[in-house]
Amino acid sequence: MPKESVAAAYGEGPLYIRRTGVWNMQELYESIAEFFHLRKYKFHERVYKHKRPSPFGVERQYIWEAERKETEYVQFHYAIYMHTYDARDIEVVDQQGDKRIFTKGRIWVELQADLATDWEKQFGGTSFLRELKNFFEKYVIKNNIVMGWETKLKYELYELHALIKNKLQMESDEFEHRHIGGIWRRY
Amino acid sequence: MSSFRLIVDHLKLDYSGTFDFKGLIRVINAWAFEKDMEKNENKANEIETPDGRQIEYENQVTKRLSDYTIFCLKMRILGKNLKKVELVKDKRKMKVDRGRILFFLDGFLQTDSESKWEDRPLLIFLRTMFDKFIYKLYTDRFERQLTRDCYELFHLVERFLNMQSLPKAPSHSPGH
Repeated sequence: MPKESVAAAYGEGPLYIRRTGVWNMQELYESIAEFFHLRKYKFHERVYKHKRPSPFGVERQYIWEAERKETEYVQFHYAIYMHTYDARDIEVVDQQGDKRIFTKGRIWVELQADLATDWEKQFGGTSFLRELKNFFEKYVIKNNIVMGWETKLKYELYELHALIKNKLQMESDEFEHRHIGGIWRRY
Repeated sequence: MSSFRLIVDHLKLDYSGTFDFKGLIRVINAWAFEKDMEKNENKANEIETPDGRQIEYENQVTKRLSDYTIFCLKMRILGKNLKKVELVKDKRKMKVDRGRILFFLDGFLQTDSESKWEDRPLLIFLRTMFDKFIYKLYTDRFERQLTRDCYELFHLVERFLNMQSLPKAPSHSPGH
């Protein structure tokens, strides 16, 4: 009998970002990877698709995933989908006179964060165990999930959201909860 | 799905001129933070065109009042043909935006937020009865509070943009 999936019932998103203009793709790429590395996530690039260039530019697709085992029961999981259209490399001269390569085109970003419970699949064997898991999440650790892990996941997601907007030089690139910690966060 | 009721319908603000877009977003975020509301940014679009920058933001701020009721304010901020200009204020140069901004605000009251009263038609009927007659006092109070919050945010944005203000929030919720 197949074990129960660990598909998440809790999570945040999807959040969408769309931008047309000029941005530094290399910096964006590195800063997202660094964001996850600093927080000790496992970061995977599942798909990197370079489509045949059209006269308007290159189309690329990226699918990234990051995961971290928060406890022996809870796992954080991020899915990032990025798609660039009509992208061309352009040379930009900054104020110091240095030349840098930027990307000009359109970009579409989707961010989704999920909280997977029972990632070790210990409660998936029988219907009794499934009911037990249901009870455990509904009554025993509900507050920890709703007020602790889910909140933490949400804050992290919005930090990432703000980071991407910042790297894309968008107007609302600030996240007001960035420096809030301590008593405001349970975990 | 839990019950959503539209309480404040589409407050609209249209402004053309010089303003600080980043500052406006900051003011709205600070207001939501002070009110202990959670912000969700569903959509963030920016497109650069020869006429200027076209911006579309869709934000939603929510506040859980009880295990039954949630406030929900939906904002849509559109920036049209925004261009950066330099101003001198107090002998200091600063960069601001010039263009048109449209701000839409809707206020929703979400009841039965955990969807416990909707498995059967009888439960939905009972929920409506409870909301309308038994919890009437609370429902009215929540609606008034939501209306007040919506108008407060709206006046805040108006003041930020130095606009002439609308009359103050009604003492009762619209539609009652």
